[in-house]
Amino acid sequence: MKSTNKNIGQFFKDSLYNYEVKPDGDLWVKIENSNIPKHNVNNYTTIYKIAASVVVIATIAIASYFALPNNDKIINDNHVIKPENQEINKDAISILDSDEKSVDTKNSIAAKEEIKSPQTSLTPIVKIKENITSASDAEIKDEQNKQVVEVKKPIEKSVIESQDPIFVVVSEPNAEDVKKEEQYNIDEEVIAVVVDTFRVKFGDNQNVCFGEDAILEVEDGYFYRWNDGSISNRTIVSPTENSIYIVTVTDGKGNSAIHEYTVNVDRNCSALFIPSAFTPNSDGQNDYFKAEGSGIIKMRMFVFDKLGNKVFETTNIDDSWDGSYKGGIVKSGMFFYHAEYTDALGYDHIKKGQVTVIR
Amino acid sequence: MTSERKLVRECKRNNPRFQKLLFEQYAPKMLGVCMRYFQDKNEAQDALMEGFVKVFSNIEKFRSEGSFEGWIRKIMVNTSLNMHRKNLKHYYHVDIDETLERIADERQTYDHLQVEDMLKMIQSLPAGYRLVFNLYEIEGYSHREIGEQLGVSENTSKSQLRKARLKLQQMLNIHNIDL
Repeated sequence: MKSTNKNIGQFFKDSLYNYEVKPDGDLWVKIENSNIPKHNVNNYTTIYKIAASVVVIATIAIASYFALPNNDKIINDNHVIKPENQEINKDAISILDSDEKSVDTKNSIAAKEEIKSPQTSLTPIVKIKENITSASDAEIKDEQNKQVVEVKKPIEKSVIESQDPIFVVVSEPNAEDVKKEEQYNIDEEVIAVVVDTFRVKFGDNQNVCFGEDAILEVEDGYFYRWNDGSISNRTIVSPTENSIYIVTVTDGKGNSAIHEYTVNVDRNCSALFIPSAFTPNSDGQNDYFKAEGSGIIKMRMFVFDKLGNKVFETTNIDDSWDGSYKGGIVKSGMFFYHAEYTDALGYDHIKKGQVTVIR
Repeated sequence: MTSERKLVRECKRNNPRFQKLLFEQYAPKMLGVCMRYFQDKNEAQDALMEGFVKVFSNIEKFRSEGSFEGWIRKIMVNTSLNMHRKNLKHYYHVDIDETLERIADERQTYDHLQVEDMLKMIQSLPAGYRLVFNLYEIEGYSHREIGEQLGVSENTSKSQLRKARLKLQQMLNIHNIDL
């Protein structure tokens, strides 16, 4: 009896291992309300130590600040942070690792700064420490005093000070509409701010041979929706004619960007196109399974069923399979093809895949 | 996936925004895992919830050496098994002939087999068969591991697997699928 056949496990695994089910909409709220236990972040203690030492340094720095006639707008000390700010700046604190001591101050200072507010210099009250992780361009502006600081990559960190609320504007040059502006009202002496920006890098348009797959990719972002239904950051398409694919990328905070990919299909270059399904039911549509390609010098193709029985074999690209096997038509299900071919330039290729028979 | 490392890092810092992102990224696939262990979606979602709470509270134990998805998946499987645990001792005492009959008349017609149908087949297995089949065939556990997890002997695991396959084959035959 075939029942104990091991293939049955493989059959179910193939279909169900990556099977997805959409959870009910309120599930996350339930999880959030079930009090996720908080674990300690190891860095906290070191941060306190650093902070303590830093307060001392900061005091000295501020003291000398008043003494010096020349007011430097940039403070190179990255460790000015007070433990009291922990709550509002959870993100920021966590980015402070002990290795920040070694941060090259030359790199951490804004590449270009423009300061038009002479009166802020005497009483430095607010200092913004900013960590730009992903923006290629960032602008920090103090609205009232029109203090604008532009920061350019590869800058990792900079320290800016001001008496007034700070506006941080981060813009992404590649996607004009993606802009984030945040206001930080700060009445503490020293504060750290993390600017987490939305950045998306789209891949190039593609030129493929007929029958070849094109891989379209987006770097970064969190949610993706392609017009072919895919929701991953990477989709594989096999167009048979010049096609445009549109992707919408969002970052979970409402920022989004749309991009169009053009995939040009060259029918003159040779790759083998093999359909992924066919319907041998004699209705005149898709009744045959056939490889297509122009300029193929030679080809050999096999089709196997799940047990590994060869159900079809051909060495002629013009041959097609009508689904017949042992005097009948095979049942619906998954089959596997293996094709070896030599393209017009004489290169050998092997193409393998699955074909679904639907009756 | 570019953001996995960042997700893990931020979740280790209890960042709620990233916890939500992690949930959104993995929930559908993990619910797909839990669904195989229960007969209805509500039970599976209970397991999923409990699993995610475990993921968040234990995430600092995750070392970035292995696959993160694999780690989450393991938590989901263990959580699902835990929910079955109190009933486990009954599962392996069910009279087999009885259950065979129960399945036989659940004939439904399908145009062609969908993944959803395959899930339903697994869900319709008696719980004892279902757990062993899932663990062995889909999760890839060994009979020894299954025995330890479920508190049964290796031989019980083997015989349950054989019966599960048999039953699934019967169901497939109804749908004209011959493996």
